[in-house]
Amino acid sequence: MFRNIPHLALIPLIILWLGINESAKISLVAIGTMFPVYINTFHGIRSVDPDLIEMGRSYELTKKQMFFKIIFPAALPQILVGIRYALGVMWTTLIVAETISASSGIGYMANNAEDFVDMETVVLCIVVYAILGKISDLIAKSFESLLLDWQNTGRSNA
Amino acid sequence: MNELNNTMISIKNINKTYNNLTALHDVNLDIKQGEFIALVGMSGGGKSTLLRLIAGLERPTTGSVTIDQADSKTLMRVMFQEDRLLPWMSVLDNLSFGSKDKNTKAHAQELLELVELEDYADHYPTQLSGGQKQRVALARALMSHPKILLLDEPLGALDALTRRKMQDLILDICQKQNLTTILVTHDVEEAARMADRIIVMKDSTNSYEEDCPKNRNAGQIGIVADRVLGEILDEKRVEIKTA
Repeated sequence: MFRNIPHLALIPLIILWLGINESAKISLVAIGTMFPVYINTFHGIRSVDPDLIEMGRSYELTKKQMFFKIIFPAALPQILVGIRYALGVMWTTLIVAETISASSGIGYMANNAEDFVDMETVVLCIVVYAILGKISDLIAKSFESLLLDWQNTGRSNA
Repeated sequence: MNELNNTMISIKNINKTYNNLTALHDVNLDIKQGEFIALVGMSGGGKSTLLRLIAGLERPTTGSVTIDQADSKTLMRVMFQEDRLLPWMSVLDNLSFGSKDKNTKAHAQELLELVELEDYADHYPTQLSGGQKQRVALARALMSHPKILLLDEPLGALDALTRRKMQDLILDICQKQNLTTILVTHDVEEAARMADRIIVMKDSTNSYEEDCPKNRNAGQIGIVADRVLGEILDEKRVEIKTA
């Protein structure tokens, strides 16, 4: 049930518990990103081909070998989907957290600029967020292509 | 042909039930070293269950499977109907998977040459055809120098031509390496072509056995296949005299 609570709804509670500081922001981002990663990891592990598990059993793999040689690589595509989705959630959460429950940061700066009708600073903050979002997405994508290059191979030589 | 003297696998009074459903009933079977056995029968006859029990992937409800070697775990390898290659590993890495051999790469390369896939070492399984994947699976099964090869319908999904080539390849390897082999197949002709002995699995037990002639020709294969098929289908046996 906990994961059905929109994590942004926890902002008042987080402010009351932790105040307006970095730990409040980090806690909100952690809560917001935890579930996409958790759900995708869980689903990835549950979806591992049972035939491969059985093959591992026939090779007498230990639990550790089974995890690192079969389960983790098989679940990795789904785990990376979760991480990439979580990165999007992370930026959204950070913007909201910095706007509402912070005394510093880009969101705070944008909010402050809004109060002084400083349009240029507001636009700058949006552009900075866009650049950071793009960079994090590119990093996630490069991880995907590095770790999942086998998915891009087709039947070219058969 | 190989000398068939020692009993390699001894199956005694095996029973296997799943939630009151009998999969195997009182199966007794001795398989000699170097022997090529084919298990045939209708679907649900218990042949795959028997193979899985021998492989140690399942435990019998009662009875025992005895492998006549001290270290039975490393000397037995299973090749399944699906290739079960790890898609994130190259062909060479798939072969090295699970191997404790120190000269793994060199041995893997040798086996790839044996299955005529030496040029595909760096390819991923998705880049291979069905027949090529099964050849890689065969090479992987041979990686740890097994004494027993368990084949669970490994050629079931292949086209007729590739299937025939794979049959020849498996037969050649099994004879050269003196492997004790158990083949589960739906194809009676395949069994008659490859096996030293055909076991018919019917009504959850081994109901009939047929010894196949050595150096058989196409006609003898046909006769054996007809006889085995008759047993599976409960047809009246017609005696055919062979030259």
